[in-house]
Amino acid sequence: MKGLATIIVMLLAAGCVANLEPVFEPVVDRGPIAGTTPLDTGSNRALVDGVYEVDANESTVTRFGQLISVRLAPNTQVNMYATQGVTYFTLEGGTRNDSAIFVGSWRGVQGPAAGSLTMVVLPSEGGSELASGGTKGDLVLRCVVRTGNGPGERLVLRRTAKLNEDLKDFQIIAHRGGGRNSERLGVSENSLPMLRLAQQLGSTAVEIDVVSTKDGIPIVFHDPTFTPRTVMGSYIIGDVTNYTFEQLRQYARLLNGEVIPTLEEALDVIIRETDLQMVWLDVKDASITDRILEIQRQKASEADALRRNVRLLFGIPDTDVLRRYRNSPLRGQVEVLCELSPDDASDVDAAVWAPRFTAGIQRGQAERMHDEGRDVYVWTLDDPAFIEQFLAERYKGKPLYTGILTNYPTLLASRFYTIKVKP
Amino acid sequence: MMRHVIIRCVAFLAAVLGTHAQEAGLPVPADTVYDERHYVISPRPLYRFRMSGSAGLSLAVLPQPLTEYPTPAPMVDLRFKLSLPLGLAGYGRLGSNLATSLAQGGGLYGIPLGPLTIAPGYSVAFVYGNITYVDGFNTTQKRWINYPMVSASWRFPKASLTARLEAEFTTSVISEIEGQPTGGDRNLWTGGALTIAFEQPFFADRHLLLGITLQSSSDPYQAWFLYNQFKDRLFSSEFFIGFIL
Amino acid sequence: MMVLFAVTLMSAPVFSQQQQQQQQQQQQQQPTATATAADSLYRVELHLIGGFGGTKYTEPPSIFSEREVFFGYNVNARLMWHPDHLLSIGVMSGYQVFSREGFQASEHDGLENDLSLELSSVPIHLAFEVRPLNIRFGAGIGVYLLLSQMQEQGQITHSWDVAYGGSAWVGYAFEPIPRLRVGPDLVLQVLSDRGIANLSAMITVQYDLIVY
Repeated sequence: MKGLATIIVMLLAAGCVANLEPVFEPVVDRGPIAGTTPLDTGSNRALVDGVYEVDANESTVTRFGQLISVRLAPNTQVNMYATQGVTYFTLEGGTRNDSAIFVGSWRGVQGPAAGSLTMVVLPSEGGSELASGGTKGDLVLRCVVRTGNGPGERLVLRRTAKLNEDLKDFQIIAHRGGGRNSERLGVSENSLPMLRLAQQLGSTAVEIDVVSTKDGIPIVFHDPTFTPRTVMGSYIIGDVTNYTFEQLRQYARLLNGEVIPTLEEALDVIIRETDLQMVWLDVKDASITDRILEIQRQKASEADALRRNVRLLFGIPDTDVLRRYRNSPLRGQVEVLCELSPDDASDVDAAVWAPRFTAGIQRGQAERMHDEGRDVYVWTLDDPAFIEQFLAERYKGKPLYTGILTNYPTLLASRFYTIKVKP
Repeated sequence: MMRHVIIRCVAFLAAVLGTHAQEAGLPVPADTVYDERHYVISPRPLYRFRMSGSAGLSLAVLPQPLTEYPTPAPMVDLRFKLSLPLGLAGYGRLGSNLATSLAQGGGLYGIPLGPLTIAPGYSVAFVYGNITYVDGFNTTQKRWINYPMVSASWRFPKASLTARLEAEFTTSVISEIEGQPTGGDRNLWTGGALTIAFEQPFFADRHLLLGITLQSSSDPYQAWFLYNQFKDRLFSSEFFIGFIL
Repeated sequence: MMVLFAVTLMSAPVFSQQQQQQQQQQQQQQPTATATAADSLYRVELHLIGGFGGTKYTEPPSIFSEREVFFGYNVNARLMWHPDHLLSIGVMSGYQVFSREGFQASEHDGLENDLSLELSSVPIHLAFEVRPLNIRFGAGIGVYLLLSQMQEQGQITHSWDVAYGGSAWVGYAFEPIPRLRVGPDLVLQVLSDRGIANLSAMITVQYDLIVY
């Protein structure tokens, strides 16, 4: 009987599922920030945004590396990206009298590590300047960081440089609406909550995947099939095109319980609830090309009406989609991103040429695209060495690659903002 | 003295060529069972200088979420054991699926306790990976892994069951993209593995090796070519089957 | 799986080397032209297995489901090659219903019509088996073809997928007549990446198709 029990255990273990340690969910006490005045995203940005160096003498925590980039988000959150451990921080708070206080959480997406932190800016270290709306000086951020339920550790950050100023010419593009399920971000890839989270992770733009239901409704979903990787339950399996939209809306839930969004719902959230600057529609089913183009055109005009500066790009990943786009009556009425050859990008007058990174640094072709007035995005870069290699390429004083698609926007953001800084 | 050396050389050659010690006319220890020549994974001491080998296939399933779907990575799998004096033995493995190749070699000291044999040992593996993406980067990786291990084997009348517990100490990982180094040396305990192997007769005097390795590693060598940023310990399994030569 | 074979061999009688050689000599002296299952060295066996069992999901299989355990029938077949030792190798396939559920629209929020759901599978496994003293121990490794069926308003939606998995069984074989064995089996099937395990009580009928 012991042998049989061993067999059962082994069979279970010999399968393919890695039961990873659950991600710690920090509880953030918002008491300390009661009564604070949120930062001014106009005047305070110049003081807050920057590359901060960890003060090794005063800090007891070393897990975040030497450099941390800090950005004041349009929603007044303070977002920070560490150069070590693919770690992001999200803080909220503001000024009170002549100092500032923030509370928030951090997460290292390489593993389950997460925790909470409290951050203060003392009057003599920039707090007064922040409170008065000044723009002079360098801030010192004094943090108490907890890992899990562990004790508080000191982290002192001193601003030493400005953020890389190329951001106006560059997009940090998050794959699958912000991140994959494997990163265990608490929300599902390509879901509406993920789109709302994307900027906290460091992205300025998102790529979303568009597939078709059985009845031709464009939905935002990555895979051609339903598996336990993406959806809850055991009955919803196999080809996405086996199910109607109504069936999916009623019976299918993404891994964290969300409904599978339609393309229209996803674009609505991006336009109305985020400040994302670009959306790359990765068209995975050519049969609904016209329907996607129609939705894209409609949402682009809605964004214009709202004075929302967001670029919607119809992705052409293969010759099937290219052929259907060429034959579409809506050709030329929307912006297009072409993943095929530079000649194809020129032929359809694409706004962006997007080669895969495995093709290497194609300087000549990328320069040609720039000369024709097109942007060049590369996909999908997840390795720090590759990211730095592509970021280092420049043309006429600007990045040669004006956008990078990644599964780790936090990693890309941390490298992008600090690329010109040597610790 | 010279005669002794010649006998040893003949014994070694005979063993390598798969000829039995008895057939070579050499003395055989009284307590050694005839068919023990079939065992490759078992650390039980055999005739000196006897070489045992197996040829087969291994099938690793790359761990999720490093890969998004359970992804099989089959390899040609050759394993060997060379019996040495004083209960010592050399053992090793050669495996390749073109993208990833592994050469492993080491030694163990077998302590027989009736049908049970306990053996501490140590091996070193060199892993070489090479992939050229279509029209793109040539990516290579060279990796040295050390495996201190302890092995226990039970001898049945015709078969052998062995469990081997290994720690995985990665001493060096050097990655190159188009010849440019992208990763450097390191000394890290990256995980460990439990291997359970069964060696038994199958047909005629052919023996079969069946086994499974359950691996927990933060950096499994089979997935060297993935660029994911996971640092978690990931569980993976490798099933192997081989005909013992 | 390895432990399975070990358990088998632990229960096997211990023969001396001399006894083994004698046994082999006796076997070799038997005329193979008139070989029977008992004295032949090689056999090709067909195993037909049927029974009933329970399936356990690690999570409820649908957003409406309230239970994780279901009961259903299970049929399998194995074609095994059994050479002159304990171990035989072959292929296994079959069909089993993992779960079947019905939901009334009136009882579930968000459900517009009555709904019926079913998940079944066809395993395709490489199978290993040993049978000392008529006790059968086996294990399989391979894939499961998963079949999903959704029925609402008389319309049926079919879908399918493939999952990796394994199986293990233990049983006993009576031999009422030469070349035919019958006995009970306990069969475990595991699809770990789907969070599904099935344990079934089965009856196995085994026939030696070819004896040589």
